Amino acid sequence: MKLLVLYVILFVFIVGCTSGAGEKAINYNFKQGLAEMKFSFLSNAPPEKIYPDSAFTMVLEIENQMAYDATNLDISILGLDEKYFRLAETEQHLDLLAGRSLTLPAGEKQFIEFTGQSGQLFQNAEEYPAPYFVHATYISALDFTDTLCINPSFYTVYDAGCKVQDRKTYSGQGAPLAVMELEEIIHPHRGLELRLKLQNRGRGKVHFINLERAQLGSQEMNCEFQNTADNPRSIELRMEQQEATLICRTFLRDQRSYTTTAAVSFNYDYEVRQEHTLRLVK
Amino acid sequence: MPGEQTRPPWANLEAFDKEERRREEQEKRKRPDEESRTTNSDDRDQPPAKSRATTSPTTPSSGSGLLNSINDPGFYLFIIGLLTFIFNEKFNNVTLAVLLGTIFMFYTAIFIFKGKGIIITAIFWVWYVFFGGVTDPTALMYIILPITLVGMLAHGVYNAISRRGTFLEGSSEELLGLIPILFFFLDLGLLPFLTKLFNFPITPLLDNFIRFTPWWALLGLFTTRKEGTIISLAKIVGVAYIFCLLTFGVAPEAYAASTSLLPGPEQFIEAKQELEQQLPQRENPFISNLACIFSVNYATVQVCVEQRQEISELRYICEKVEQQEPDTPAFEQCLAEQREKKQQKLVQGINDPTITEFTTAEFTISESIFPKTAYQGITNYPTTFTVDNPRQQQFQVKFSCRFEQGTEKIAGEIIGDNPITIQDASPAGRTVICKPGSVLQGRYKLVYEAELQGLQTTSRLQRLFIGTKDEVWKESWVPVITSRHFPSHRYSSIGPAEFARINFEFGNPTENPIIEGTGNLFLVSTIENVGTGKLAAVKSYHLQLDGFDIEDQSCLQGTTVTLPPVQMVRKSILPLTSCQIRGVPPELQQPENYLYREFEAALRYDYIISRSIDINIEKVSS
Repeated sequence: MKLLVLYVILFVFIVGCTSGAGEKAINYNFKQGLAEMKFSFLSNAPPEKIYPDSAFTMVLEIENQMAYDATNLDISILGLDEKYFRLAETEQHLDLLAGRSLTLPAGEKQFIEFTGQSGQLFQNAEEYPAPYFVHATYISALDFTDTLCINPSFYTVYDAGCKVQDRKTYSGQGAPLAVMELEEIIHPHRGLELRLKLQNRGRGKVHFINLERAQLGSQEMNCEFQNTADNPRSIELRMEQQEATLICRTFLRDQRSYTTTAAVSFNYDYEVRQEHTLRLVK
Repeated sequence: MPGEQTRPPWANLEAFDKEERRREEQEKRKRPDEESRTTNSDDRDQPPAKSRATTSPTTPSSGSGLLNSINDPGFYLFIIGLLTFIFNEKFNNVTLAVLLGTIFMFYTAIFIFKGKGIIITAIFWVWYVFFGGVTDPTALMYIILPITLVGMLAHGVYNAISRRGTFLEGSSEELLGLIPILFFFLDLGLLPFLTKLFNFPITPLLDNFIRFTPWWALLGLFTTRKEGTIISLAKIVGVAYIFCLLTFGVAPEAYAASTSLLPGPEQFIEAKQELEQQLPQRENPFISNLACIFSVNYATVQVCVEQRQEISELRYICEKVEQQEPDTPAFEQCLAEQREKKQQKLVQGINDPTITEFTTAEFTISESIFPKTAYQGITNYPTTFTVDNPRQQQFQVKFSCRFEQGTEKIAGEIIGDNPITIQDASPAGRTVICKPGSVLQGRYKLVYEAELQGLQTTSRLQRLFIGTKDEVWKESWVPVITSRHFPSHRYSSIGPAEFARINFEFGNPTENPIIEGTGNLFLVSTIENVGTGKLAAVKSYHLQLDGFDIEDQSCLQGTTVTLPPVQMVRKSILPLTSCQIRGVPPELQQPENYLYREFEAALRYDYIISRSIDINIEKVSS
């Protein structure tokens, strides 16, 4: 009996020591790299060919592969002529689609349906190819966190502390919008200036970026976007230039070099459009 | 020799030129000796005073020098080709055109190319003219290519046997025979035929080439071998002439390619005549250029030429079509009206790529049973009328026929049901027999006509309604939706490529497919003859723009439209009224993003299909 208890304890111990998926998830940093919302139609919904005067369904699979929740999702089908394809609803709304996290490592997935009825072909036309767009807008967030070495003593060449990196580059923070580069500039008497270069690397468009929070350790930083008009904490991006620079400044109290965490949070609105074609055939 | 094997065919032309020049130089070198010999012998035989008188004809004088300098086969072809070009324009007779083409073709092969290419030319002529060619679509591959190969082989073998050169030299020289064949086709009307076949838009450049190019004359001019003042001058004029033809227009663009039969001379001439009828009758650009060069300063020559061309075209319409007496107030008013019409924007439609089967009708004449040569009073003339009616339209076909000899037109009688009603979809062939209305004798042009009454063709137009949007939205969306919904970047209405159709567009400007705001748009429409026949009548038209606030409702629909005679033929466009759209329907005024909508317009009309053939009626001997 004692031996059996020993075996059970040993088994539990061995099993408990193996690295399972749960541990991987725990260790995995979702807020890295490029990730975005994925929109795709289920196979055969809509069918490749639609016949005149028939009902059809379009099932759109929406998968949030970002490390952040997406809120206020509006999804619409644009560009179909009612004469050929009449949809019961052309627009649908989702309040929230959760992003990837420890509890939901794959991100939330939703299916939305658009049902429709096809019309007649024009006279004896062979087919009617109908280009259309899946258009989606949503609001999401972006968190940037990194450990920086700060050395306020500008002229001290020999310092036993950390080594300052003037410029750091990043691959992304798990969203289509990403902080791609950080420049650290120390002014001898004025303190620290951090320059964050944000870039939209996704397939959609960012319209507005709002700064929510910017901290260096526990200290709030004074930040503003470059080239903004009214509100320095918000920027509207142009269609052809999907990037922005945020400049954050703070005074430094310490005289020695030290490492601390810079954390900056944003929210932004995002627009995605995908081109598809419905084909009405004889 | 290996080096010779890689020589291109035209290298023979160069070699041929060099050889000719070498011979001429040798002759020139010989000539003074001969002359001196002649003079010396004269001196010996005759007294000095008389010798001067008798030697004068052999001494090069200004007159004989002139004749000698133009004594060139190419120059002769230039002169005769030019004369026939000027006078043949008046006849447009198939037999005459083929006869002249044959003469020029053989003349070129024999005298200009010195027999090089004569075999190809001869075989081609026997096949095409003597045997009447074949009407197989793959004839170019299966006939022209073998003819060329046989010619090359024969010439090569002849060279090898007679030791006049290598086999390769002979066979490549034979390729020169393709040049007179090409010019034979060009002169008959290859360009108009291709224009008709491939639906080329008639650009000013093409128009000039079709009507003002004396093909044989140009070939003759640029194959002259002698260097003389007159020939050089003629060449300069020739180059200037070509330059003048090229002054206008751009290269044509093919709308659609289709397979067709290799046509006989009648079809070439027919295409040429038909196309020339449609083309505005303008002054020859060369004459316009000449007149302008000497009358205005250099900077304004182009403007002057364009003005002269336009004026000559308008004068032709007013004088010949509108029958107005020149230099009268009515004539001046007609000119002003025509000028205004010309400046009006004419919407040209697009062939609907999704409609591959459309209504067609044609006469076909069976070469095997049609009596091209018949005897007086005992022959009727059968043809087959075929209709393809995939949309199952219901319309009537009224047949007629006539026999034309010069200006005389003798009506024929159609034997059998006439008119007939068409309503089935499947292609139906019907025999139509024409019986002469009176006793005929000689050569006639038999013309069959079918008037298709009550046809309807519908066109459609797409537009994108965006309402009122800010610049950021427009910058983001307009290029994307425009290219997605209009990938061909053509924004007019589309319609089946059959007979005639109504073209329309609206917007601001009308060719802009993006409809912004709630109104202030313009609508223009035209009727276009896209078939090969004549638009006989427009019964009605209707543009389906429900819910639009239109300034003038007559813009949307109308009944009988008067057709000017010159605008009834192929490719002609007749403008309908244009008007303002004050407002778009409420549901299209403020879309959240954009709306894509299609609008239709229908045209009801009558259309005439015709087919003509030359016949010969001989007297019955008792």
